[in-house]
Amino acid sequence: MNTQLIDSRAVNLSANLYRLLLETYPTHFRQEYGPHMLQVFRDCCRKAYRTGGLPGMLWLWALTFFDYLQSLIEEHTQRGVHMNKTKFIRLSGWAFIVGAFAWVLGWAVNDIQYNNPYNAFTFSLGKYVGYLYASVQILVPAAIILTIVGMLGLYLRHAEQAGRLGRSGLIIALAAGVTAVLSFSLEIFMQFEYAWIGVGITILLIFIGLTIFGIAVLRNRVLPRWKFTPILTGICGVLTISGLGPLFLLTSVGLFALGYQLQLDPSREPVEPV
Amino acid sequence: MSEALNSPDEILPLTPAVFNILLALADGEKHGYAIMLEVEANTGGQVKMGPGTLYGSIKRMLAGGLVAESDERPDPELDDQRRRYYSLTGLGRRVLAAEAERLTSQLALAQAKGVLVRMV
Repeated sequence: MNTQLIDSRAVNLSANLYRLLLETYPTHFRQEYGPHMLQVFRDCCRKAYRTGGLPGMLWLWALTFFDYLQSLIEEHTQRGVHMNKTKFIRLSGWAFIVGAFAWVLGWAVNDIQYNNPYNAFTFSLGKYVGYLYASVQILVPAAIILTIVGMLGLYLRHAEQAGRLGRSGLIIALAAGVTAVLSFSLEIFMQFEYAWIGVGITILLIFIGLTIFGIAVLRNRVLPRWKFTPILTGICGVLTISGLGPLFLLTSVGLFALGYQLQLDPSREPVEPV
Repeated sequence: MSEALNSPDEILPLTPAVFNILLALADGEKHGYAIMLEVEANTGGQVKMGPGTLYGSIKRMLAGGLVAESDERPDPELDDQRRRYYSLTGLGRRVLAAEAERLTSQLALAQAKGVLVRMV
């Protein structure tokens, strides 16, 4: 495979991911500036890849993701968002989708760091490998926060139809998510020795909560389609945290699917329980 | 950013992003990526704007009348026709000059207080 082809594929993949992120900006801003932002990002990708290779691209992504979060908040705030329930549910779907990417990247880096630190990829990064490992400190809390927002969307959209069991599952997941963020903060900012145990347990509880919600979804026929998604995502998440690492891919796909479903049609009437 | 300014001083101080974009456009119209590259070069890489900050700032600068979309395009063989070019307006140039004067006075103050050994 020649270098130009790899170059083109890496740039196209990055551009496609960035196009997804652009969808979360306010509609008017996206329509007016989205294509130009994408073109500029594509130019940046080409330059980063040619001058810094894969590490250069990773560094560009770190900068771009920070820029994205900052400008996203700014554009939504300046627009004076009236966040009604439907809008929030749609946004929470996007939170699940972006969160799925953050989880998969975070888990992948974590897996490399602890299970396979000496491979061709880490050698190719050279002195930049430290940045790769440090990115977990951003990716995991970002993934947890985005998942909490997604869970809130699920709660607003489906709590009524999911019954007491479903609501309990989502409340467990939400409470665990908030505690996970607090535990992570203790670990990072206070260097609290055993906080990582809290992080692990609370992330496990997020997926246990999702599994419980998944059971309620099946019992009460809450979702009109893809009804096995919550329970399978929850179980895969639990197994991932319990040590079956490779399942993180399936968990992320599940979160992506939940998000896709939420943002696609947040106002669709649910199927009535039989 | 105000849409009807009586004086350029009304919107000072400028954010680093807005100041650097205005400065990049001071010597002629440019498209987004060229602005980004020039800002990075002008600041020795200290200011790196992402697409979100760049176009968010441009949106507000257009609304404030500091920059305008340029109708003229360079030779199509030399550049992509889809790119949107921006240029400074008269107001934008006055605001840039006012901000540069403000920074100069700050610099003089720093020098007077012995913070700087010599004027840069």
